Amino acid sequence: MKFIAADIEDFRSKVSEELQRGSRFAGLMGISLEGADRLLTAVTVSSAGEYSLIESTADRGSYPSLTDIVPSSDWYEKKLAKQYGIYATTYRTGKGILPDNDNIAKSSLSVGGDGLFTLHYGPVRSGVVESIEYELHTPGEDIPFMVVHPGYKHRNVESHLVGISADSAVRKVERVEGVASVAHALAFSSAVESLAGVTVPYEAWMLRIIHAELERIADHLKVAVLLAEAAGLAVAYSRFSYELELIQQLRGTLCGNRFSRGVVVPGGVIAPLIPSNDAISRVAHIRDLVYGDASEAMSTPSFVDRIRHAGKLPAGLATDWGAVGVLARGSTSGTDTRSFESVPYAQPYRDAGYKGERSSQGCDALARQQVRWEEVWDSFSIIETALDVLDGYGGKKVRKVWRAPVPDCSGMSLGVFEAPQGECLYLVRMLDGKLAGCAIRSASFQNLQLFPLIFGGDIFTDFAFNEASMEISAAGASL
Amino acid sequence: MVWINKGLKNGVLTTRYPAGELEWAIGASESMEKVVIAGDLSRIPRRFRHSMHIRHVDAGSDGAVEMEIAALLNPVYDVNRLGIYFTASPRHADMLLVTGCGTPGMSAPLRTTYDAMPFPKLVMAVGSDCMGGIEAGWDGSYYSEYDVTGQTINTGIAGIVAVDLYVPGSPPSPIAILKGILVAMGVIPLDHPDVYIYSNSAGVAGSRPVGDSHPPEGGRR
Repeated sequence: MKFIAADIEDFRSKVSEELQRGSRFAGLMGISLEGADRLLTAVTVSSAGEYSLIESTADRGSYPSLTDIVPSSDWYEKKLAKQYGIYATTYRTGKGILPDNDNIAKSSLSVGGDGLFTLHYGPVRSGVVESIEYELHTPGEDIPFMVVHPGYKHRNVESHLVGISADSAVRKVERVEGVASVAHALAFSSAVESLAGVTVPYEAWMLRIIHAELERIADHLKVAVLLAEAAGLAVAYSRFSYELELIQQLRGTLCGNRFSRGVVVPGGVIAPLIPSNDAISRVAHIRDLVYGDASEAMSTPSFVDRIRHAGKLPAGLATDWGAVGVLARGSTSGTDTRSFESVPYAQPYRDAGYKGERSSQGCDALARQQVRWEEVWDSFSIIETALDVLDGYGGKKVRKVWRAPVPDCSGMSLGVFEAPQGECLYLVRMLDGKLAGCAIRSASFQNLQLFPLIFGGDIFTDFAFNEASMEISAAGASL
Repeated sequence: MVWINKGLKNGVLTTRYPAGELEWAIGASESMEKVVIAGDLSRIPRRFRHSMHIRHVDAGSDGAVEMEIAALLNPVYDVNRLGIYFTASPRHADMLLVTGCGTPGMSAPLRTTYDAMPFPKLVMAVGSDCMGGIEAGWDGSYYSEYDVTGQTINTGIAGIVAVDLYVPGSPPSPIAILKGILVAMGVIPLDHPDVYIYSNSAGVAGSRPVGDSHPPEGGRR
């Protein structure tokens, strides 16, 4: 990890230099310093997986906007303006990521033309879904313009993490984005461990990997359920939702919580593998079920034809906007943090049989689904290997706590983990063992900005497929 | 016409769900899965025993509880066999199922949805984050996530709508949510060991801790 200090006047040029070297823009974050100062940090990551933090003190309340060199900076700038009152010099007024109470329903943005009308889809929508509003501007069939408003669910999570210990914070961090509980806990814990200089026990990493990969399988299966439902394939919907339930039950059996909460803590794990002699056979059974049904679905024309050519994200667009996760890997490569050498879990993942990043050049929803299936098979294989490794340590037979002590520490660090939705970042600032600041960048926040861009010529009936294939969590996007 | 005649001739062939299956749905849960009654359910004496239509609104959850609610529709739980359905319109709903801590942004949409529902109606809050401001300690089994203090709301969603039932958990399992729905329907009696009646600091059982009461019943406003 590389820290680059910059004056506020040079901030923009330093970021630009990093991007010109081929780095990817990973986020623009703010953190409170002592007094009224705010530390502005741009995160970039090189193709080799080296993270750079370009830091500057925004003590005068403004900084040069980055939107013309990296368009996805727009939401970050709006968030910083609302959260900390520091404005980009070219900050555009309008509905931000964190809306006011009295500025919820209407947007200042619109497009015009004969026969064009605006449809506000959300925040309360049919079905059991998270609240989010899509403001659709349409002539009736295609959707040439859309504005996404995820701010309805804003919970002010980052401010609730300040002033508490890392052990207390990790319980809240698990609840930032429910479908990626383990990934968020791991990203946060990695930041604290890096700051405290802690070496996590090897067995703890194996157990963390098991739960992280189960979470990945569950989330990817959830996408399959939504796609099958959108395609009207009742049998496929039932089968995938049944298999998702089996995964959730297995997670509950292994740790006592169906979302693997209460397992990961800074320093290791506190909820060891609950003895389950049939864990490996259950994993194999679910894998066989999923494999059979996935093969059937991917050879069913009424399913494949609906996701082929839907939600196209060209590789250039994915790169320019810094897309992450399967959304990026369906178009390009180089975003799976599990394949980076710089991360602390690189070696444990290799030992568990991780074969490297899966990607596709197809750029549509079909390509993304193919990547997801490949990741699911990899995850099953990783889990089986990790269970075998833990068996050698008596993990399936003995309840043990695998955790290194974490001393009180001060300083700032970045934690990274590959959530099912993509790269999850935690910028953590600690002071004498307490959190003095925490900035969260979920994959959903980064990717949701691209949702209006993937429509191209897609029409209303493609909406459900496009939304499902983005694998977005509104909770993670609005924080 | 042929199908109608056939139906009339054969009579009703659909049977009730087997009793054992219902017992499984209730009995499979463990002691951690509780339902807390905070409202006066006796105001609806014969409440939705044969079918229940539910409108779900996410008022600021972490997204996990939606996954557990959606799991109720999978073949393992298949709540449709118990006469439980999720409806797209609040106009068709008997019960409002709310998740999340009640963020400022979702206050108005939640209230609008509640107001659009016809009488009689119930409100069930699912997940510990719904309980942000409720006094702790009545069973000790919930963990308050975010009370959004400093964002004007510190009472959970009870500050926005009058809650009749709570299902604690972070998130509660599908079986716990199902149990809450069955309590709301009156299928599970209120004296079931897993059903708690909330008492406020004055010791008044069944009284709502915070928030307003339901408006007078007797028709749609």
